[in-house]
Amino acid sequence: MKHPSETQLALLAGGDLAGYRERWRVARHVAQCGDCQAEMNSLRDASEQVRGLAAELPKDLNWNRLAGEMTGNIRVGLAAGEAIARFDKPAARRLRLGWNAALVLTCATAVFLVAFWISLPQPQAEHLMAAFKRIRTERIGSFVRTPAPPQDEVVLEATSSSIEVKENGRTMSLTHPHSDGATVSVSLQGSAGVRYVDADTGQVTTNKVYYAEP
Amino acid sequence: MSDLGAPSELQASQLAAQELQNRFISDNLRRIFLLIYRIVGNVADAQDLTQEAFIKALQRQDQLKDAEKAAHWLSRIASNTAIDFLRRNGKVNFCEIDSLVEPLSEPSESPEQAVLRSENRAYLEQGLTVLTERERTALLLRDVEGLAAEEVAEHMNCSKATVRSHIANARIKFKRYIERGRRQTGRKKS
Amino acid sequence: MPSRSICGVLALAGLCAGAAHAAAVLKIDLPKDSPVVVLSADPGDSSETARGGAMLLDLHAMLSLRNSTQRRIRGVTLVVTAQDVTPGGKGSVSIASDVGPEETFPVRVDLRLLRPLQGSANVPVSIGLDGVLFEDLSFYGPDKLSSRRTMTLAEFEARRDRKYFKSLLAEGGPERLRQEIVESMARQADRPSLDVQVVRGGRATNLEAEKQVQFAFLKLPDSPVEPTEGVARIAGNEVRAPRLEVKNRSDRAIRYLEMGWILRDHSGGEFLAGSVPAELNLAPGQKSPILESTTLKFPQRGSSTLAIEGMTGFISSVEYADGTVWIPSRTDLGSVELQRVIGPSGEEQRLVQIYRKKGIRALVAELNKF
Repeated sequence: MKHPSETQLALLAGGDLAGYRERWRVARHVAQCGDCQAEMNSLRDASEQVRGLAAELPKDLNWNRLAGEMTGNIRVGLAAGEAIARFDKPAARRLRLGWNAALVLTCATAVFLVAFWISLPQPQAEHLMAAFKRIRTERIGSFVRTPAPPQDEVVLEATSSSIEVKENGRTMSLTHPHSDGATVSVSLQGSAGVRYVDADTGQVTTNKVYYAEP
Repeated sequence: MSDLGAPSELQASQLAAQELQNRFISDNLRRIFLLIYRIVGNVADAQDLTQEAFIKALQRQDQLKDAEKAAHWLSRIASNTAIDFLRRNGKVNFCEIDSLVEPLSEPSESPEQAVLRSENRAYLEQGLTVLTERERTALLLRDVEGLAAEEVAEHMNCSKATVRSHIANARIKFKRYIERGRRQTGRKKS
Repeated sequence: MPSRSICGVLALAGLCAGAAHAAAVLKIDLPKDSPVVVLSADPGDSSETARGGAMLLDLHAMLSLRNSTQRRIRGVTLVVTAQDVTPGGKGSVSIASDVGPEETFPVRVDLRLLRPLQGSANVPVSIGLDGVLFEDLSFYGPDKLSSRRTMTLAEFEARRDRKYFKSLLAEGGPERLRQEIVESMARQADRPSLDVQVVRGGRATNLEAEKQVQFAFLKLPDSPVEPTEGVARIAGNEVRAPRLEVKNRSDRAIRYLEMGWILRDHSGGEFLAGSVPAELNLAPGQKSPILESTTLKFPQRGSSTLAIEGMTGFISSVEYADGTVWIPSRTDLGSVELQRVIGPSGEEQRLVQIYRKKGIRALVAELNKF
C-alpha cells in the first residue's frame, strides 16, 4: 500500500489539501491505515498546541502596563493622523445633474434670490454686500477672483498641518508631513510657527513663517 | 485655571465616538498584539506594529459600526502590517519555499531542561522559532486566525500553492519538534 | 566675506495639460566661516501641479549638514526665502539636536509655493543660515530672525525638562519615569489646538459686535515680570489690538519678554492662542505698555465656530539685558490642566517619542547622555 506523503497528510489535517480527487484518495487511505492515522493525529495535536500557545502572553510580560502604553500611543497617533487628514481632505464630489434638471434648478434659485434680495431691509443688504466682498475661498490652489486684499492685510496662518504666509494671492508654506505631533504657535509681531519631532530623524524641528516689511 | 463648562452637543457626539474607539481598542488589543507578536517574534516590534495597525483601522471610523466585521477587518490590517514589516526589515521573500531540513543550530534551551522545569510553554515557544518567518506567518494566519488558504495567499502576496507548502512545512516541522521533545523526556525518565 | 553657495536646479516632475512647466531653483548660501557645511541636498519627491489659475510647487528637500567645528552644536536655524512668490515673507527651519564635532545631521525642508500660472519658469528658493547655537550657549550667525533668543530659550526648556525627568528616574526608577511619560502622552493627545491667522493692520473682518475684554493673568511666583493690566477687543472669533502693561519686579534690566495668551470660548474650552512678544528696555521696577495693532482670527473648524469669551495671559519667557534668560520652572507651570493647554516643550516631545519607539531603556540611556 502506498502511503501519502507527509505534506499531503499535513495539508489534509488542516483541511487544506487541494483537489477533490486527491482529498478523497488520501482520506480513504488514512481511514484504513493506522500509521497514517497516528501521523494525522500528531499533526492535528501540534496545530492545537500552536493555537493554545498563540493565545498566551509572552512570559514575564506586564500586560496591563503594555496595554496602557499602547492605548496611549494609539490615541496620540490618531490625533496626529487627524491633523494630516485635514490637510489632505479629498475634494468634494460633484453633484451631476441632467441638463433639464440643472436648468430648472438654476431658474428656481434665481427667482428665490431676487425675491430674497428685494425683501431684505436696507441695512442688512449693505452688510451682506460687504460680507460677500470679503469672502475668500479656503482651498489651496483656487484662483482668487475677488479683489486682491489691501496691501496692509498680509496673513500668516498656522494650522497643525502647515504654516503659511499669504501675500496678494500668493502663498509660501512650510509643511511637516513627517511630524510626530505638532504644536502650533503664532506671535503677534508677525510670525507663525509649528514645532514637532521629526518622525524619521527624531530631531525637534521648528518651522516658522514671518512677514516683515521689505 | 477655570474648569470646562457642560459639554455641548458636538462635544457629546465626540465623546460617544471616543467611547466607541476605546471599546474597540480594549476588546481587540490583546488578540491583535498576540497575532503580531507571534509573527514578528519580539515584544518591542509587536508593540509598535500593534499601535500602527489600530491607528490605521481607527482612521476609518465608519468601519466600527459592526463589531464582528470590524474585528475581522482589524485582523487583516494587523497581519498585513506585520508581514510588510518583515518584508521591509527582514528582507523576507514570502514566496520562497524552505526545505524541511531541520536547522543546524539547536535552541539555546534543551528540550529536557524545558520539560524538566515543567515549562512546556517555553519549549513550545521555542518551537515557533524553529520555523522560518514565512512558515510561521502562514501557520498563524491559517491555524490561529482561521483564514482560508486563499486569504493567507492574498495576505502574503504569494500563490496558493506556495502558501500551502508553507503551511504544510510548518505543521510538519512543529510536529517533529514536539515529538523530539517527548522522545528526549522519555529517554530521561527511563 | 565671500560666501559658499551651492546651486542646484531641481527639475520638478508632473504636469497638468495646458500648464507651463516650472522649476524651483534651490540655492543654498552659507558664509565661508560657517560652523556648518552642506554636504548634500536631496530634492526628494518634489512636484508641480496646476490648480485652476495657479501653480503649486512642492519642494521636499533633505539637506545633509556637517558640524565642521570642535564644539557641540545644540541648534541650527536656516532661513528660507522665495522672493518671487512672497517678497515680504520668509520662512525658517530650526532643528534642536545634539551634534558632536564633525558629525553630520539632516535638515528637512518641506516647502509649498502657490503663485499665479503666468509667472517665470524658474522659481528661486534661497536657503541661508540665520544662526548656530553651541552647547556653551555661544552663537554664530547674522541672527536676523532672532534665532539666538529662540534657540537659547528652547535649550533652557530642554535642560529644565531633562533635569525633571532625570529627577523622577532617580527618585522612583524607570517605572516612575514611565508613568510620567505616559501621562505626558495622554496630555498631548488631549491637548486642544486651534488654527490661527494673524492679520496685520487690525482691520475688522467680521460683522459681529465688538466688545472690550480684560485679560486675566496667571501669577507665576518666580517670574521677574508681572503683567499689571491688559485689554483686547473681541468680536466673535477675532481678537484685535491687545494692549498690555507689565512691570519689571526684578533687580535686573530686561530687554525682551513674551506673554503667552490663552483663550476661553463660550463652552469653557481653553486654547493657547499665541504669544505677545515685546522688545523693550525695562529698568528694574519700571512699567511699560505693550501695544499691538494685529488681529488674531480663528477660522471655522468643521461645524463649530469659535466664540471667544475671555483671555488669560502669562509670562512665558524673559530675556535680560545681559542676554541671560528666564523661563517658568515646571513648578511654576503648576497644574496638569495648564500644562495640557500650553503643551510640552520640544524636548519633552522628543523624549516621549524615544519612549514610544524604543522603550524605557532607550529613554533612560538618552537621559543619561546629558
